[in-house]
Amino acid sequence: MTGTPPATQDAHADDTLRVLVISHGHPVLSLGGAEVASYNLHLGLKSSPGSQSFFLARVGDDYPRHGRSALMGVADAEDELLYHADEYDHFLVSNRNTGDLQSDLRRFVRSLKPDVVHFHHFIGLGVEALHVVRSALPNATIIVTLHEFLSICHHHGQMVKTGTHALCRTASPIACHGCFPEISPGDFLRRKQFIQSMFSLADGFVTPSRFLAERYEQWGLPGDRISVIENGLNVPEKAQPRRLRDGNDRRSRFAFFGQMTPYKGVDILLDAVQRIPESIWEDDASLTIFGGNLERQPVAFREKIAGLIEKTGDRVRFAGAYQNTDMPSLMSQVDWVLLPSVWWENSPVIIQEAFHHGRPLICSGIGGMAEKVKDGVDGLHFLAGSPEDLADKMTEALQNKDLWNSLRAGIMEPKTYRDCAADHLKFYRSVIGARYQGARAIEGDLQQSA
Amino acid sequence: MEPVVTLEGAKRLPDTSVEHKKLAGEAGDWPDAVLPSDGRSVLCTAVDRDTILLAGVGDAFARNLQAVLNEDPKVTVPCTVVSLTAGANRDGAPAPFVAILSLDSVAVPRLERVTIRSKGHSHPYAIKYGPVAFDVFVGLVSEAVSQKEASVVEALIDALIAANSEVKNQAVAAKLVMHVARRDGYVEMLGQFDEGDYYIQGWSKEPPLGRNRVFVFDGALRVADLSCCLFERKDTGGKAPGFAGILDKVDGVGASAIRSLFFRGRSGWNKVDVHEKGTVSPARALPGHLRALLPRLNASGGARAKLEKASQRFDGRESVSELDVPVRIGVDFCAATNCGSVLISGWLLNPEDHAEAVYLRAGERSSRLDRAWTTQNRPDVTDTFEDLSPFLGEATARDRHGFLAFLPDMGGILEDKPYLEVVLRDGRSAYAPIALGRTSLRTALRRLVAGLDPTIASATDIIERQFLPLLGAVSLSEPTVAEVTDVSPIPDAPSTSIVIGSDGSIDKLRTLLPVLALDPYLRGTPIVVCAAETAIDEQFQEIARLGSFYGLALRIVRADKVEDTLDAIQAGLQVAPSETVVCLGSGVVPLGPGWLETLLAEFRKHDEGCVVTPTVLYEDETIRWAGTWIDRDGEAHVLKQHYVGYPRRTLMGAEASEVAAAPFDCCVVSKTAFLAAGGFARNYLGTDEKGLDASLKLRIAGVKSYWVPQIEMVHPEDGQGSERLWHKLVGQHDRKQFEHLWRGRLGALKEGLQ
Repeated sequence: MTGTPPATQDAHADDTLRVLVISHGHPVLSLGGAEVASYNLHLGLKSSPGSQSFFLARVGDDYPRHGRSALMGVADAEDELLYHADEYDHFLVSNRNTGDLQSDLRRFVRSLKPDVVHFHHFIGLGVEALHVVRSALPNATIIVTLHEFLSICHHHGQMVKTGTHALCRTASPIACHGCFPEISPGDFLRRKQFIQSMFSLADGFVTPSRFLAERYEQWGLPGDRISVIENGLNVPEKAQPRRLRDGNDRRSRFAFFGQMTPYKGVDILLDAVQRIPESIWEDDASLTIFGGNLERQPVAFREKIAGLIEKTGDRVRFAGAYQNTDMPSLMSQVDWVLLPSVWWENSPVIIQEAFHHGRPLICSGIGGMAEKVKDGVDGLHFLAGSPEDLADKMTEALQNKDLWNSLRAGIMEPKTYRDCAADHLKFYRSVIGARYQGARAIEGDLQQSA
Repeated sequence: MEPVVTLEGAKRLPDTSVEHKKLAGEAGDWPDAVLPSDGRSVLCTAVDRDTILLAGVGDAFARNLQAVLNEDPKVTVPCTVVSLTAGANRDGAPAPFVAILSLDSVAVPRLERVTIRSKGHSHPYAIKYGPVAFDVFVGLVSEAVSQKEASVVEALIDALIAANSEVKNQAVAAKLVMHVARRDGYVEMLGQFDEGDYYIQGWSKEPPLGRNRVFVFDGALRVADLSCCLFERKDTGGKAPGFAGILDKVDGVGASAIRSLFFRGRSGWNKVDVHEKGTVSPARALPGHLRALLPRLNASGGARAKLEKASQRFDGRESVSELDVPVRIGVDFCAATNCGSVLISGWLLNPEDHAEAVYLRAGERSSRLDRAWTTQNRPDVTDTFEDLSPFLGEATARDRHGFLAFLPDMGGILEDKPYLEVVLRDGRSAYAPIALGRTSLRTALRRLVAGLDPTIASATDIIERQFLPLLGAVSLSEPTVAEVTDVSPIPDAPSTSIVIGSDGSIDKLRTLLPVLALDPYLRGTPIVVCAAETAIDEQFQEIARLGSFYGLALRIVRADKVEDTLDAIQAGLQVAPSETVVCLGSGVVPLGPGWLETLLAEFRKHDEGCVVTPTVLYEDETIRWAGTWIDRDGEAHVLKQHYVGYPRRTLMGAEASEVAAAPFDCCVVSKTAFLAAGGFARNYLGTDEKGLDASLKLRIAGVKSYWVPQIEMVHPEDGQGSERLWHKLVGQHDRKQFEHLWRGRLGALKEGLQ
């Protein structure tokens, strides 16, 4: 913290920071990586000295709402609330129900008077929420965590081309129009200007990976306002290494954890497995897929997977969906964690979980994966989208008996949620300091930050 | 076909007929009256105030003569004379006659003498008796000529309604008919075709077979021709055959207004009333009904042919595809415009030349399409129907099936369901109903062009040759303010306001208004959003929501006669709350906050008497507009934009400078100066040349244009790929229009620049 905030009616007498963490979902209702990360931040802030935290999570149309208020409760949690948001515009990442935002969100934040409002995501809630918070609390500090490329890319924020699923390196109105011919280049430019206008109300941005930060800086966010803070894990147990029967037993158990979507590359993985010669695979090797939702994927993808499953035969086992609490037990059954995503990824929690349990990863050598997994140190990279190269890396893992131990030795313990909260608090204080250190160019109740 | 009502169930209509009406005139009591046979006097009766009948004997007069009343040559009236055959005991005696005098408005206080002029001679007659009652008159005449009263009256009527007879005579005949007609049967079903003629069906003991001149009563009697066939019907017990006929159109009379028909039967004039349970069928139901009835109709030459033809009229179904000859038709686009015209494009497959004509019809409105259209190649139509005709499979097959037509004077076409009629050379017709939308002429053309194959359309150059001149000729009105609503308070006398001309896209406002709202340098600046009435009607709540949410000082303007963003800006300017106005098209995207301050600084530098414009980029950061200069091109002066299409970095280091003209995508201007210069011209299709045109008009008025290169706004090339042809055509048209208007004046303007 390099500056001292002035005493305002919103500031608290002591140096305790009151933080409101706003998430696009509550992990009790939606168990995604970003939801867990935002909730862990809330828990970490609560348990950290010098901070208080309140958690507000968005719920959507599938959740029954009250008639008179968009605010709803969470059982047995006094410092948590839900906010019912509907009328969401996916293209503009916008919430057209500004009436609820104006009345309920505004009222709530004015009552809570947080020093920091931290949007851990805004999907479903709409970027207009930033405007509501800024106008309600002109002196509060607004932080936004960016989880993927949603603001840059209309294709689910993946920065992957529609149709071919080729990696996209730079978004532009015309390139985006190429992915969505029904949307004009002008509309993509308007989308960008609209979202950037809303982001101008934020004081700082957090990305869990350097890769993501660089992409957003390239897109137009001021780089000096972006801080890279890895999400923290809140997993007390650790899985022991799988016990081998004898000296000939191999580290030959591979696992995939995650949704079976086209972006996660499970088709690449299956293709790679069926390419490995029987003489290398032998009887002891196996791939276990922990995850589901295949039935929700496009027909063509399901058919492709079905064809690959037929080819892989009994080399692959499907364990179905799992709960986070099962992770130590599941990890104890496997040696290698595979992450064959064909999109960039940001900072997938499975990397931290694998490292937490001492499992080396074999992952696509792109984006957040390449950043988080160091090739030859704590895991192996393969050429993204290449089943041949993945097969080679898996072959190497099966044939090189020392590899697993050497990579395991290279694994660094990932950050805990408390470490993460501490990093955030440090960032909050630095941003608050920066806000009050320099003279404000714009006077009045609507303040311009970025 | 089943009759609509039976005789047994029939009730007489309330007595609305005129047969018992007293004829006008004061008839005296003349018990001794006879038809004068002296050749010097006549018997007289008055049919009404304007019509009198005289009877006497004399020369065999011609039918249409003149008569002098009371020996005053100034009072001469038309006289129709009907010569009658004398009775048996009057051999060699002068022929009796009845003369019908139409007094019209001639004032004759007391008629005493009538002089009939015939063949250069005058035949004076004194009024001997009269006026007697009409019945007495007819009785005395029939007694003298040994004919039935009815035949005397019929002879009069025949003379009066003979071909080419005057309307006045027909009116007189009608009065006589009403007097003598007997009720005979009923009309049970009638309806009016789109063409205006009527289908009439009923029963009568003496039905009018073939083509007859009849009287139609709708409160007044009118003459029309009825072509009628008979058919047997059992429900009358053999006493009265059915009749079905086509009655010619009577102007201003709808089918439901017809109450009776009068026609001459074997034994005199008859009257058939429309039955109180009679059915008035819609036009579309009549052909099918007729087709069902045709097998039962007797053969009666022309009348049957007419009914057969009527049975083939449009009944709402598409029937072109059922033709047994290779003729097919399709419509790709059809719209009625708000200036009363119709724009239509489609194709007619006619490889063997069976089709003779194509009409666009709706109700009574009709326009011959094939004489108005311009054809174009449609190889896709040839391919689709390759098997329909051997001519289509040939390598040299003609592909010119497409058509485009602009039909003026089709106002009100939407009141009826429009359809196409294809008339074959063998006399048959087939039909294709069409869906017709309503829009402005420009929008209609834009949509039509969007549906065209660009390669075909450019090759034929059809749009430019056919439709752009038409558009140029259409006079469009100035945009006007219809309604102004302040959704939040507008500050008193603000120094600047922003007028956004909306193109009707709410999505653009959904992004532009927040971007402006979150620009801290614009805080408190009133914003006027103006759009066409239809757009505001749909979007008012959404625009107001945005204004309220972002705390904007927002005025919403509903404007009429708005065709594009510049029209909307012009209307919005009229109600802008400040003298200094920032014009902004809704498609323009600011790239960041603070842009206005620099523009305003330049504006003030020139005493606020100028137009100040930033650089305008495309969405790919190439230059859309960065200054316009007048250059010499040979002997002529032209307007040139040097940097169009270049990367934005081309302008690095450029400084603000005067330019010849500026667009209005984004500019600062004085409201009064702009409106005083006349606003935007009405004869451009796009906004680029339209804006430059307006700024040149401002320059002539002493208001110069300045370009501020360091401020950049983006105006993306909006519109779908399908509109590429439209944009190309608009560009071609507008450049020609601009050149036509300004080429000769640019030299003088360049002098002013220097």
